Amino acid sequence: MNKTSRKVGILVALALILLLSIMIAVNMGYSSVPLKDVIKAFFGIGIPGKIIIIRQLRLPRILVGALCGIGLALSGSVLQSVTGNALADPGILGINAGAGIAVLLFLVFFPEMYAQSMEIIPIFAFIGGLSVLVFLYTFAYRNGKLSVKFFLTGGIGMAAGINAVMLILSTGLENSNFQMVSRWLVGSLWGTDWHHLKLLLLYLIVPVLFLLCYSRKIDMMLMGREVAVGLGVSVEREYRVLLFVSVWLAAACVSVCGGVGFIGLVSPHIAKRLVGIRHCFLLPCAMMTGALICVLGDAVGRMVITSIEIPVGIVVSVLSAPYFLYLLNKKNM
Amino acid sequence: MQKQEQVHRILEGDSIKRRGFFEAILVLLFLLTVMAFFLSVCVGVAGSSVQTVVDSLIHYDSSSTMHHVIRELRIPRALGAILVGAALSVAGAIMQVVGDNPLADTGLLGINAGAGFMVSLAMVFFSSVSFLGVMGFSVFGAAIGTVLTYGFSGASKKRITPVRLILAGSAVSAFLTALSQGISLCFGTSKDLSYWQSGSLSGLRWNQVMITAPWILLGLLLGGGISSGLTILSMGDETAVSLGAPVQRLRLIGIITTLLLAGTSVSLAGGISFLGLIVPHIMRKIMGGEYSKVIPASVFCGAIIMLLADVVGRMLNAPYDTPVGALVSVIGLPFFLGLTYKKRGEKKSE
Repeated sequence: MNKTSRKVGILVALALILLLSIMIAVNMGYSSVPLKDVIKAFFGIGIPGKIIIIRQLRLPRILVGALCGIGLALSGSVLQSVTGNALADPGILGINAGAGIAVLLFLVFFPEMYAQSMEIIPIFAFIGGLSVLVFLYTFAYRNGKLSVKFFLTGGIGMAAGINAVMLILSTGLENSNFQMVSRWLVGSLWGTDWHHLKLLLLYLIVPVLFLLCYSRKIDMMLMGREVAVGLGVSVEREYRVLLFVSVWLAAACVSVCGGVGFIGLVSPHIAKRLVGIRHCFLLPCAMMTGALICVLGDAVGRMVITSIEIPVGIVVSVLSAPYFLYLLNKKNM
Repeated sequence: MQKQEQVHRILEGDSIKRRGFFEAILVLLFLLTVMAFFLSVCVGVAGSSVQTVVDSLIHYDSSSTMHHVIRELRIPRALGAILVGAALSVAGAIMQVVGDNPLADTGLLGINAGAGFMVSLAMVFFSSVSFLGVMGFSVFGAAIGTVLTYGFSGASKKRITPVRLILAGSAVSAFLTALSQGISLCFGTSKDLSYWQSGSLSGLRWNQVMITAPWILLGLLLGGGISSGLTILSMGDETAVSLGAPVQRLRLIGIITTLLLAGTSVSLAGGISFLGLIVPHIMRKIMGGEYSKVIPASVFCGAIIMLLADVVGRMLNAPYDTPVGALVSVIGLPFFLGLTYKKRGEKKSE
C-alpha cells in the first residue's frame, strides 16, 4: 500500500513539474514576459500586446508540444511492451518516417488542398505509418515469433530509405515549401496554433483513454503468452490492436510536429525507473515525462540563441541519443 | 567445415581456373566506367554531345561557354563521382572484413556522420580554413564516429554482433547529425550544410578534386596492398593466425585505410550511405571470396554506380540537383533489407 502511495506521489509531483515547466516555457522567448504578466494574460487582463503573444503564439505552441510528447511517449511505451524490445521507438522503427512520407506525398500532389484539409492529414500519416509497421511485422515475423533484432534493423533501414525518398521528393518543391518541409522533417513546433491543438486533441484523446483503461491487460500480456492465455486474453489480437493504436498516436503527432525522434524511446525508460513496470502507473508517468521532454526541449531550442530557434527535434535528439547508446551498451542483445 | 572448404578452394587451384574470367570482368567494368564517365560529361542542363566533349578536350576553345562548362564543371564533377564511389566501396569492403560484419557501411556505422560533424564545426569556427584543412577535419571526424560507434556497441565486453553495431551506428549518426544541424542553424550555415550532408556532388571544382585525389588513391592502393591479407582474415581469426597472417597489423592498416577513404570522400561529397554496403556484396557474388579480386572490381563498380546516380540526380528534377546520396540510399535500402533477411534464413538452417 505504501508503495502505491509513493507512486501516486511521484505522478502528482511530475504533474506539478510539468505545469511549472509550461509556465516557465511560456515565460521564455524572444520577448520575455514577466511571470506576473503571464498569469494575468491567462485571465485576459493586462497589456494587450502581451496577451496576444502569450495566448495566440506561445500557449498553443507549448500545449501542442506537450500533447506531442504525450502521444509519442505512449506510442513508444506500447511498442516497447508489445514487441518486447527495450529499444523500440516510432522514430527508430521508421514509423515516423512512413507517416512523414505519406504527408509529404499529399503535400506534393495536392498542394492546393493542404490549407483546408488539416483534418484529414493525420489519416494519411496513419496509413503511411501503418504500412511501415505491417511491412516490419512481416519482415521480422517467422516461426511464430517476432524477432526483436530484425524488427529493429529493418526499421532502421526503412527509416534511412524513406528519409532519402523524402529528400528526393522535397527537392522538387519550391523554395518556401522546401524550407517548411526540411524544418518539419527534423521535428519542429514552429507555427503551431490553436487549430493544431484542437486537431491533435481530437486525434489523441480516444487512443490515450483507451490505453489507460487497457493497462491491466497489457500487464497480463507481459507475464508471458501462456499466462495471458490462461487469464483469458487473446494475445495475438490484442497485440495487433495495441500496435495499431501506437501507430495511430505516432501518426497524429508526426502530422502536426514532424519527426521528433527518441521521445518514445527515452520516456518509458525514465518512467520505469520512477514507478516500476505496472502499466497503470507506467503509462501516465511516461506520458508526463514525454510532455516534459518535449516542452523543455522546445524551450531550450528557443532560448539557446535568441534570434534563431533550433527545432525541438534536434534538441531532443542531441539530449536523448546518448541515452539510447547507454541503454544499448547495458542491454544484452 | 564450410570455412575449411573455403580455405581449400582458395589455396588450391580453384582460382587459377577462373583467372581469365576475372580479367574479362575487370576489363568490362573498366569500359563501363569510361562509358559512364562520358555519359556524365555529356548529360546536363546545358546539353551537349560527344562531339563537343571530345572537342573541348582536344581543341579547347576558351570563347565557347560549352567547352568551359565541360572542362570546369562537368569533368571535375564526374571525376569526383569516380573517386567517391571507389573510395566508399573499398572502405565498405575493408570494413566488412576487418569488423567481421557483413552489414558494415560507412554511412550505417556513424562514420559519415562523424566526418560531417567535424566539417560543420570547421565551417563555423575556422571558416577561413583551406580545403585541405577541411579534409583533415573530416578524416578526424570519421575516426570520432568509428570510436563512438564501436565503443558504445559494447565492443569491450562481448562479441559485437552486426545488429548491435547498426543500432549503435544509427544512434551515433542521429546524435552527431543533430549536433551539426544545431550548430549550423545557430551560425546560419544550415543551407549549405543540409544539402551537403545528404550527399551531393554539385559545385565540385578542380581544386577539391585535385586535393583529395592523391589521398583517395593512396587509400585505394593501401586497400589493394592488404587485399590478400584480407582474404585470409575473412576466413576467421583462428584460420588467419594459423596461416601466419599478422592479424593485428592487418586490422590496424585496414581501419586507417577505411578512415582515410571515408573521411576524404565525405569532405568531397557529403554523407553517402549504403554504397559501401552494396558494392562489395555484388562483387563478392561475381568474383568469389578473394579480396585481391573483389577490391579492384569494387573500385570500378562503385565508380559506375556513383556516376550513373549522379546523372540521374541531375536529370530527375532538372534544373535542380537531386542529392545523389538520397538516390543511392533508395537503391541501397532493398538490398540492405534483403541482406538482413537472407542472413536470418542462414541462421535458421544452422
